[in-house]
Amino acid sequence: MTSGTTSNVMGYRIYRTIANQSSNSTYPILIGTVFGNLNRQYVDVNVLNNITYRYYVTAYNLDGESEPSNYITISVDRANAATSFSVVQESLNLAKLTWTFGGDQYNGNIKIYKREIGVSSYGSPITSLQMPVDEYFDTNIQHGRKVEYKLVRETSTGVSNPKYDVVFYPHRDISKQSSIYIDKVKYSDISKIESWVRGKPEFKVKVLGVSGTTTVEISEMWFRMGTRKDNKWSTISSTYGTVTKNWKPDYGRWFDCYTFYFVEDDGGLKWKDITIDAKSFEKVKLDSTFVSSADGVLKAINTLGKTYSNWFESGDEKIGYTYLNYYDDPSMECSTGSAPSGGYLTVKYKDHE
Amino acid sequence: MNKFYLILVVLLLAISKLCSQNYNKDFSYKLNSGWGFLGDGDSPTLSLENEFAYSINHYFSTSLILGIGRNIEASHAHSDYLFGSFDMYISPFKNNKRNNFKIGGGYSYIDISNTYVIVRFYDNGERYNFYDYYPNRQHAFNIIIDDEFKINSRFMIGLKAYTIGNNDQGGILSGISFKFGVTL
Repeated sequence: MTSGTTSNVMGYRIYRTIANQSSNSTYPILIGTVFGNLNRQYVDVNVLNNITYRYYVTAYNLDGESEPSNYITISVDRANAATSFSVVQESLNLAKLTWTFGGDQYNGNIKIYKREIGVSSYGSPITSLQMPVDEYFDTNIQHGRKVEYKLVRETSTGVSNPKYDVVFYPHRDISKQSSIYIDKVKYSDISKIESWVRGKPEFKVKVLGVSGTTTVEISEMWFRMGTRKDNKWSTISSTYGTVTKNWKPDYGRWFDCYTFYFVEDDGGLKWKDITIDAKSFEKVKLDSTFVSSADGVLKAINTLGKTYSNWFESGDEKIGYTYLNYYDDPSMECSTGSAPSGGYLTVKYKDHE
Repeated sequence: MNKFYLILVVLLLAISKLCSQNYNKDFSYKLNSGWGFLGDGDSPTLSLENEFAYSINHYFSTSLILGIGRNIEASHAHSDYLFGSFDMYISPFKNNKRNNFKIGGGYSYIDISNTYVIVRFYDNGERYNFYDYYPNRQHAFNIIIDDEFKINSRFMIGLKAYTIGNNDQGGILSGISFKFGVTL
């Protein structure tokens, strides 16, 4: 801001008022003074976004103060937010964050925050980058967690509106084919499902793949426990416990979820006679505006399997079902809930031999 | 081959000797066969046992059993087994030389060979089966309820019920066998 010059000027006084108020009705406030007739600039650091200010200056010397200069009106606009912001997981421990701004928005700093869904604060930014950078690689991946990223741009006029994206990070490496094995099983009260004479329990397992509302039979498994002691793990060899080795988005037959139906085999039926009605599956999808997929195909889906009464025939003991989502911990333990005859089966999965 | 004929001759001579001698009332051989139930796979079995028995007195006796068997039918498994047992018996109603009711028990070692069929589906949904071998060898106890009836001074018939099991596996093999025996 400059004013006219005269040789006897000792300095300048800067006045400010709010533009949307009448300059006649609002008394201008002296916000600063500069000394010397050649010192003709002043930085107002006490401004707020989205407010229009009006400034004028006066010159002064020992004889007094000059008439006000002409008014200058300035609007302090907030930094524009990003026009797009996207987080995509590329591999097990690597996510790529990309964003774009308008063509004239190339100054300031980018600050990126993240929080796990359910945590009420972001904390410090995970990175601060000088514009015009437009990408960032996050290598601190929290597997099995839903993570929200927040991006803001800071300029001299303040902080932009934030832009958000949410990613559900699976435990599995999204860039590779992953496996499912039934690792171990144990039963809480074996005498409820298998008499002593019959020895160790044997299980038939019907494996179904669920994608959307479509259910596909994957395999029919059979294995027996190594012991009939209650709550003692029996390790299932990979020969018997292999479910799939090809679980990968965009690869082969994709399933959001695998569901396992267990019966204790007492010779009540042959496999070929089993029919399973899988129409009762219900899926709960998170709001698509809330969850961004880590891949174009992979959806952040929680799938719930529902059991029904006619999936086994008399002669065998109905045990129950478990299910494994792509986002679940591959080494998780699942229990079948209470079997009709008593007790429950606990199954531990794994993703490697 | 010569060894085979030599053994055959020895056995024939032994049988001939048995037929002509005064039998030792304490030793007997029994051939047992019957139906069983195998805990591995819950499958019914056919079994055949060779039992060598020795009568200690009117109340106590002992036997050594070597048995084999296989499961009858199962859609997903085939099992064979071989076992040996050493047992002690008590005849609570005394062995009256005509009918001998015995209750016994002892140690068994059983070796079961299981072959299972496993069903898989290829990625394209095509189904295929493959088989896997699973051996199960167990030290176990056995309990036997046995009744023998002498047809004459040399031959006997009988019926026995037995179970072989242990704490870890539960019932491994249980069954009922018909017995045909000869006093040695």
